[in-house]
Amino acid sequence: MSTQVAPPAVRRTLTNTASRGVRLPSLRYAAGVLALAAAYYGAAKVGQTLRYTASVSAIWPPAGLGIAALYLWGLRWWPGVLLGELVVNAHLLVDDSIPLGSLLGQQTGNMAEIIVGALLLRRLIGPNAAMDRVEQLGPMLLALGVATAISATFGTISMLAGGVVDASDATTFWRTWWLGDTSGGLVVLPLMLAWAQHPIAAWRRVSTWEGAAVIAGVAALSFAVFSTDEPVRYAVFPALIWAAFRLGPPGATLSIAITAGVAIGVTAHEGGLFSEQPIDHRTLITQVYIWVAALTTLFLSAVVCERERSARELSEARRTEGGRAVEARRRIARDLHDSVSQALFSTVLHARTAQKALVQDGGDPSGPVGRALATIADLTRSVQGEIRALIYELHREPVHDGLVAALTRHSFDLGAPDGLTIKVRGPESRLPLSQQVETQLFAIGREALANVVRHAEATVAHVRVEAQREQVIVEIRDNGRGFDPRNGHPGHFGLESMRSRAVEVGGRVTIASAPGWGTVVRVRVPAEADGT
Amino acid sequence: MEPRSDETIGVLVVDDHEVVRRGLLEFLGSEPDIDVVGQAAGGAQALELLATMESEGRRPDVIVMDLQMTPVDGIESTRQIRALYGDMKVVALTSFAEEERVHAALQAGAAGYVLKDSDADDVAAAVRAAHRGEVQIDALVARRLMSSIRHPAEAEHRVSELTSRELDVLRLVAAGKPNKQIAAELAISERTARTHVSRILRKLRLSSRTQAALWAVREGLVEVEREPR
Repeated sequence: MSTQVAPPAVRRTLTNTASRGVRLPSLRYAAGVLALAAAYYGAAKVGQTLRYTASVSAIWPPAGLGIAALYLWGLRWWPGVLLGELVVNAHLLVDDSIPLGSLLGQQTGNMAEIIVGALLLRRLIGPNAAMDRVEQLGPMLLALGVATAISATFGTISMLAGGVVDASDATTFWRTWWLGDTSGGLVVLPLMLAWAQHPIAAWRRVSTWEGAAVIAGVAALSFAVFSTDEPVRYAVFPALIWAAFRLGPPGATLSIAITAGVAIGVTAHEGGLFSEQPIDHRTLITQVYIWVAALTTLFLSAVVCERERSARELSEARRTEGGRAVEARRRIARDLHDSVSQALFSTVLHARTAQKALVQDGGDPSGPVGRALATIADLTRSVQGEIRALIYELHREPVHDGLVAALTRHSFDLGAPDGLTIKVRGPESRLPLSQQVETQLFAIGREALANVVRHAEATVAHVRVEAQREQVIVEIRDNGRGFDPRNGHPGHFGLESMRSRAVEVGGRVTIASAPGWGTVVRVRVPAEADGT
Repeated sequence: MEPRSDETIGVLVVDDHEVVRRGLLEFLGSEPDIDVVGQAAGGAQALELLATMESEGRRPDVIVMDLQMTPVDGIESTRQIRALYGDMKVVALTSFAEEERVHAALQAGAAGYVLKDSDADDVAAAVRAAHRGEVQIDALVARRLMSSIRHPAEAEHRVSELTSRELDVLRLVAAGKPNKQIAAELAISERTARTHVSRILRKLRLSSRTQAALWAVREGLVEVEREPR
């Protein structure tokens, strides 16, 4: 039976493998090419709303789109660009009767622009650039500038040869072409680079209340300033700078695209289609506006990004350093415990043995030998105490079984003076905090309790630990004599050390006190999802 | 080795620090009623030694055991020794940094607890107390152990399961009395006293007299004298 069934199954598998090996990828590839062509064509349509004579537009987004696509996903997608460009040119051939030769020249130039642009970009800034570093921006501008110069030169020569533009207009024509391609590129290329790497993270960064407010602000201000003849375009910049500061490259590039889109839309609407019109003042102004807005916002967001990154790296380095310090302290504590403490204990035993032997042999315990032995015993005991305190500081990871347990234990150890009761209350379950944060919180709690014992003359101290959804609160409250916080705090209160410990773990300390009213020390730290 | 007289307490010292063993040897050896019969640098070595001693009929009465040793720590060693030689008492010697493990040692059946920064005389006192079937616990350790017994409601429920005779026995256990003395005071046989104690432990779900004593103190069944430290 099985021998009869097996062959068809094998054959089917082989067929499937063959079809999957050849057909499916090519299908996906074809779909990708078509999608790219469609996007390219759409971008061209947007550009053509601000079209000047022939095929030159005040802003030409397809150039940036093509460069970004080939840079991000590889040169093999070039047919998509070619196809999109062909459809655009076919329209120009039919609708605007631009000579075929000129269009072929222009098409060659545009293809060269996109391939050279993508290659240069790869060469200059490597793969996966997300416009989050200042050093990516210069090379990006260079690649864009060179690539678009190729296209502008090919285009101008082609149109001159086809008699579409006059030789006298050639310089302005080239300039408009080049500015159009670069300003389009400055909008689309960074937008795609900033969003393509991590679209979900980018979306998260922008899709907040603040993000919505910033984007709405950019759009509204852009509408306002482009709908008036007053020279107030710079009024958009605060919103753009806001975006750069708070939303990172994804929000910054989106804001640039929005303000550029509004600028083009409003200008085109008011001036009508620009075809057959001389390149006027407003075209140039729009181009320069997009340039300046894009450059300012891009540089600023890259700088902010770098600052955020170095802050992260710094705190990471601090954490590593802290971990290393803890490790070193533990090693020292272990060594102290293994050698010094044991020897001291042994010394105590030997000293006692000697004292007893002295008495047994009829010696005088208050004589010179007896006194010396007593001194040895006393000194050893006091060194033992010091070493124990040292090891306590060095060795203990006090929060190994949780902050609440550590605080409870500590309040027992504190050996609180008569008349002071310390009550510790808090969840027994794990707090949403890393051990490092718990250690700092414990240190703050210890400091606060030490203050209560030393200065407060309180009868009751309450330690409360509360885990909320987004933060953890530790509160140390006493009913002691309090102090006036306005009078500055004496150094021995350790308040500064509490503050700096809290800051180190991203938290905040508030101290409320008044003479006769006790003291409340409250620490809040943000909860961490992945406490380890 | 000379066979000991019945009055002296035979002690085995187990500590992985040679310097400590030497100190204990000298000091305990200088006590007239204590006889150090052996020393070991670790749990495994101690068990070997005990087997030899057992065969030679000179087993120790009390073992002074360092809690922090490698590879087998003092808690595990205590458990093993108590399983093999139930009548031997173990006095745990703990350092400052390992107090959290004392509770585990208690579960393992240790009878006395001395911190390594105690007075020398406290060590001897703990050995004698353990030998008498009493308990000597460092005051700081005792305080912490009591605080770590949890679920008071459950315990309250359990105390009602004890008979009044068992409560009497428990009070005497908490006062550190050995079975013999308990028997004398309550006018019962030593065997009966032992049966009472094991029944109390079962009802309270505790594993040693020490725990029972601490528990009784915590429940307010007895007034405890604070140790002079």
